[in-house]
Amino acid sequence: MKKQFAELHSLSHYSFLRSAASPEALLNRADELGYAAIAITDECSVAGIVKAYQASKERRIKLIVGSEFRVTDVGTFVLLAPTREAYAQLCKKITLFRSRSEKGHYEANVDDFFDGLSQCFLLWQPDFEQAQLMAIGEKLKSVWRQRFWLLYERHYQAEDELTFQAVTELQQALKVTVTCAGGACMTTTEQQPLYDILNAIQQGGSLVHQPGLASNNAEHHLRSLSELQQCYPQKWLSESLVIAKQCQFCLSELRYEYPAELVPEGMSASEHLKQLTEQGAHWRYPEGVPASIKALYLKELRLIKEQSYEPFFLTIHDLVRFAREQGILFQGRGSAANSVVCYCLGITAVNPTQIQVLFERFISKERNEPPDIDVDFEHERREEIIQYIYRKYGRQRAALAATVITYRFKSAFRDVGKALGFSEQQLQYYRSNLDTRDKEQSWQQQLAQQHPEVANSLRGRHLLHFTGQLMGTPRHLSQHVGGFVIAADELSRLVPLENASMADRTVIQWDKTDLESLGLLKVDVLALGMLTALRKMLALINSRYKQQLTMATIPQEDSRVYQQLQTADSMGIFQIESRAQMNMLPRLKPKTFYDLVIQIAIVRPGPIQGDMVHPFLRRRAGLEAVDYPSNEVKSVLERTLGVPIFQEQVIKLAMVAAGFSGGEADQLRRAMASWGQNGHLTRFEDKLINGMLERGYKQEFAERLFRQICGFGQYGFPESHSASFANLAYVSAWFKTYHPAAFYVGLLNSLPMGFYSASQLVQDAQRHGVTFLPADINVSNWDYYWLPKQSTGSEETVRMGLRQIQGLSETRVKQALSQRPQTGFTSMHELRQTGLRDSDINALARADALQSIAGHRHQAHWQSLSMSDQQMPLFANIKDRPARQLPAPDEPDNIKADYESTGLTLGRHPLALLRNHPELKNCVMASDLITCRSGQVLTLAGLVTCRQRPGTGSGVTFLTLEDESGNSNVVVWAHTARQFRQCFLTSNLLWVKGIVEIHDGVVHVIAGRLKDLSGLLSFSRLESRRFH
Amino acid sequence: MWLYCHFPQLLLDNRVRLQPDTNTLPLALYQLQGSQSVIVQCNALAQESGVQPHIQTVMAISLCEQLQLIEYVPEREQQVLQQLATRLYQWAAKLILYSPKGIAIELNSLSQLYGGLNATLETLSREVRVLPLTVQFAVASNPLAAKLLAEYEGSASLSPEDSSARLKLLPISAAGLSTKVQKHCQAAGFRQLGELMQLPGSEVGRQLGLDTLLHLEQLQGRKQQSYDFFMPPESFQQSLDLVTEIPYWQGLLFPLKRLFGELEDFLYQRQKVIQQVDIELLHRNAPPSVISVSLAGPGWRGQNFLSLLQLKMESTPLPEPVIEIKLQASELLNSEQHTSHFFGAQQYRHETLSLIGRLQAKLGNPAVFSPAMNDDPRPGNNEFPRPAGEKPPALSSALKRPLWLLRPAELTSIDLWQLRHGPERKVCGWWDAGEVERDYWIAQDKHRRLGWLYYESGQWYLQGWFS
Repeated sequence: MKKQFAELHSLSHYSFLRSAASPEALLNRADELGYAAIAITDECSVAGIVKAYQASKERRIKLIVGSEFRVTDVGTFVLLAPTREAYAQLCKKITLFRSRSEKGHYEANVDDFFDGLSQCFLLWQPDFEQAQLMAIGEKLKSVWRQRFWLLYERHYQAEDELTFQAVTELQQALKVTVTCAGGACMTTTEQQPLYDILNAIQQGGSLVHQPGLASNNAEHHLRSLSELQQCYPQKWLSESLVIAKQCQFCLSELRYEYPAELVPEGMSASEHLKQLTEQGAHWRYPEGVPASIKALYLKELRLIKEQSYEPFFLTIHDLVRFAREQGILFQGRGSAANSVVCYCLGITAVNPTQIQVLFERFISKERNEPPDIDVDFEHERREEIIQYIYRKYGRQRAALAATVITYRFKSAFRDVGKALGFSEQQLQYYRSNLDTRDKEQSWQQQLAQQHPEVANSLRGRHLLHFTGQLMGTPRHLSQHVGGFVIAADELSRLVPLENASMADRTVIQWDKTDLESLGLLKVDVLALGMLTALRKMLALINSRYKQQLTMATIPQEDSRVYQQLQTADSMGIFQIESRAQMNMLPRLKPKTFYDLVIQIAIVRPGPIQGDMVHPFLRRRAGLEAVDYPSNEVKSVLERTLGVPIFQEQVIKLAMVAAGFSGGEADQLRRAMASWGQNGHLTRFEDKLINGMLERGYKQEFAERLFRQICGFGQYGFPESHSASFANLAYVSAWFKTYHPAAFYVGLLNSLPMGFYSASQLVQDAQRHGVTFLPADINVSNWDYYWLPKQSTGSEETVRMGLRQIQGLSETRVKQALSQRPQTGFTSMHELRQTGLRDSDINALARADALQSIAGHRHQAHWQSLSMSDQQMPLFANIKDRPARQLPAPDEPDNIKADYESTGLTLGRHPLALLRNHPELKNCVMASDLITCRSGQVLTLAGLVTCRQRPGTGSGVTFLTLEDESGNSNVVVWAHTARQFRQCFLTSNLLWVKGIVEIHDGVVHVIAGRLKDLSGLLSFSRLESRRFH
Repeated sequence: MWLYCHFPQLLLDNRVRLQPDTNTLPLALYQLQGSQSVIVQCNALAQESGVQPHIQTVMAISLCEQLQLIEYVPEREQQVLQQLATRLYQWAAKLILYSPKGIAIELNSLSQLYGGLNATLETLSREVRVLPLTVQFAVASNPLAAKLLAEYEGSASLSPEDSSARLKLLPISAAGLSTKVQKHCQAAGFRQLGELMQLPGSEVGRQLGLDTLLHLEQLQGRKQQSYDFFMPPESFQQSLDLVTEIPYWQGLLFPLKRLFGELEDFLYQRQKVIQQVDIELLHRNAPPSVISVSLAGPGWRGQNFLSLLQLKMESTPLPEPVIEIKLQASELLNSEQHTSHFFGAQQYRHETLSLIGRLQAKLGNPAVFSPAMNDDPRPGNNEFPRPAGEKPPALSSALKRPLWLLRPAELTSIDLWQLRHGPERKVCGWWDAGEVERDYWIAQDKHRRLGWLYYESGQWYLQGWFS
């Protein structure tokens, strides 16, 4: 059939809230209808174009790149890019328009269309209310000449005829050609309701109360050729083909040009990389580079060269070189990071011989995708790296990748509800008892059960249906956490830039998957709190013991470190400090680095849902035989005892057992990443199972593998990341074992980070023999510090830092400390002279940090008031007057005030005070639980420090109770939670009667009865974490 | 001497008073505080499930799934307090309103009237308790002290003698100090108001500011205060959120009777009469139903208004269940002088309203309205009956629309017509039951009349005539 039409004006849902159709759907539908081409012309954006481009690879239809601009009083301009140069011009214009406005907006004037677009095509849909129409038209004609068309669109409105006449008259007057387009925002008429809802959301109204927000009809969909023929003159339809034919630009022409300045003159990038790698190899292996290592890196360098990825490795090498010079800790991770080349370049500290990753797969021709390297930097100093990138490459050449924020359940439910005329309160009420993580009942079913009136009404059914439809559609662009794109020259010739919400940050209009699709490189500059803490720990040890310890020189495979981990003593240790990890440690009993790599990957929703944990543990304990259906499978799964634990293994299995090609396996990986959001994964089911059956595997094995892949879903954890994390876990565990004081000081000085509060860390430290001295303005610093042995007689003594006190200004306190006399401050007056304000001094007094100046906290506080700012003029001539003697606080007063001002106490634990209370009679202490008999009924009591309901569990909540001896784990099943709902939800001090269960050194108390004892406390700050 | 009455859950109690059956459900009032929704008042049933004031609404729902939630509106509670004060105004002259939850009554000037302080207290507390409201009393030598005691102590003894001793025992948190001063006092170890009162004034001023000093002196009666005494309001307005949506008039009778009773009390106490009452019934989705009841001549008996309203009920079906009732009477007349003083426009307005009122009573509300249009794209749906007499809103666009719309549209034969302009396609209304799918045309018949035609499901219809 002859193609008779090309759609030159269509919007995808990347013109946020203006279209109901995804770019892929528009392209596919246009192809089905027999269009010759379709231009995706999102409003001042090309954010959807890569998705359309991906879809176009499997279709015969031509994709045209363009963008739409609305100019007040002048009309709508559609720019099309017929060539690469035109595309660059378009991107630069979009960047210009976006730079004029805050995030998410743009500003375009008619004058902007008179220059800088010499290669583009312009379609003009005039605003006929404009009085100067002719003048504007003539000017446009004179500039654009043969690249200029009038655009007519008909959607069966009352004013169609008038518009038609006006276009015809203008055409005759200007002597330009007219073409027609559909202005499509929907694929089919069925999308009209969603389209109306989006419009109502954008206008902030409801269709019920403002029916005018709805569209008149559904004519903004992609219409059939026969419909179009009824609608437009043949000549205008044909003109669309003429235009489309001239548009020859394809996104595949985009070539990423790497920054060139990293290669010294006279050398090729490849030579330079080789040189750096060789130098690095000698640095890593001072005793001589083993032949196997050399062979490996030469092979890797060859792969890198084949794909011309040298500049990418050089760019990252440059960043880590800068970080090393500045003393900023970092660690690379990702499959490519864990290569010998990266090890030699110092990008990662993980010795690649310790793990097995598929470096080849991540840099292969077949994949034609950039390698994956994330580099974590210290969270407190990542900004220095970002500023370095901007300094080195300039803001024209470097920008962050975008992240597309999509509608989730909560936002979709609220916005659809409002568009349908529900009030905010009603929606909140309906939503309040829905559990979107419930696997047995969908939220729709739950809502129908809890509020049958909703499901029974038309409007309620719409709410249910369209919330589901809206979920997953894009809402706006946000900035990626740290993915930088760096170009050889102007980045805006490659992709438009727009402002992010953060000042001085720009983002490109493409996200991570778009970059991957086009084979563009992204450098991930991420922030990691543990690296900050580790740098501080290293500095402490090196300065005390006059050493040059680095992460790489910390003794490896130390058995004491593993012994400590096997007892679940892992609070504060990177990645393995959560409760779930702590429960796994005594069962998995890590003995080697690779055990840690497994430990980190196995406590994840993927392996848990895929039911891989128990088989692995049984096999590791020797309770179950390890067998392999074939040698190929053995080669993949041997290191994890026949159970797939890492994402890489699943991919490799698909290749060796089901005959997937590298490219297919990679599609499988992508489908796994988005599993749950769409049904892409099921597409692979037949192929995978049949592939295995053909290769002689049993049906049961094949199905189990597919189930495991589904279970992995988006939670599958790559071995390469796990290995880098394991490195940090080992290093932090080493510090905890050998230098506990340095370990806790490093952590406490890097908060907020990790899983635990300062209070929990300090208690853990005390249990490890660290002594804490209270904060005092005359001896404390801003940070916690480790006291020399000479002054205390003990190796492990720490002075609390003033940073722990809430309500203090860091700048002012540091300024005051810099003025602290040798002998210390002696009066409030002197303190005030340093620039501290009332609020600072009050906070210090409340925290009992003015002991050395003004006595106990009551006294100090009262004294600080008399000197307060507002009173100064009246009493300016008075220094510290002898104050009234106030009664000293008692122990409960002190504990309460400690918690209120610092969130922790160095005094006795509140439970120690209450231990003799009749309510706590017979309660077992946390530290004694392990001595109980498994199955014994007992009572215990403690502060609720954590309430956690894991996404994988069914209705079970884990509570952590804290007493003076430590923490205990309480499991509350749903029915118990219901029965004791009130104290379960609200209690701060909880009494539990239950059964203790002890397996492999893991202790749990299964709660049977709960009682709220919060009345015994009047401590306001002991709040627990809620479900998260 | 002052008596202070503190009503900790005035709005909730008032609602239960007007709609007693709601108390069989757990019930709570919530308020948005910043970005959080917090419970502010709740009934006994809700408290049994652990719901308390100050907890978050989300938590309250978790604790009690059946909890009925109603938004707390401070202005509304203030209205109830006003009405309460108006009622007490019969018995006491010097009242001070502490919005939204308390009233202070000066006692000394009443002592002679009622025969001593004790008798006065007895009379007043009895009168307050006539209404079933939770109340906490206290007596002290100044209203501020009485307020703090009432708010903290609840229904302790009313004897004035030991009030100053009890005042000293008040915890710092209940002493009426600003949050900042409270924090300072607590940080310095003070627990009770008495400890602060012992300090020399100069020290209090220096340490805690002059406002605190003034506050303490007022509490101890050392500083005279000037008071804004309560004056009864000039109009009547009462509203009631219904806990359960009421779909029938019959179900509204009880709360309406109560509201008209309140109106009658109000008018009687003020010796006023009125001619018209506006009753506004709010619905969840439909616009409010407004019903005005006008008497032929001014009056004050609630029953008279209610009878007239009942007459209207028969002809006025409720479009949707009612969620809230508002009763309003703004033009109060003195009972001696009425009707003959109305002239001019005012009188005309009254006559119009009265005519509309009578027409509505006779024909039912839907039969009497002012025409208006909205921007619903569906012809026929864009007209809606606005309450008679109100101004229509401005229309957004002036489209070619016939002046004379036929409803329902008439079936016609296309042979009689020549199509002139079109089509204008209308496919919309999916969100309610009125979905349409039509092509509209402007067409001419043999008499050269222009008609608005549409084609739907294989048939041609005449929708209207152009002039």
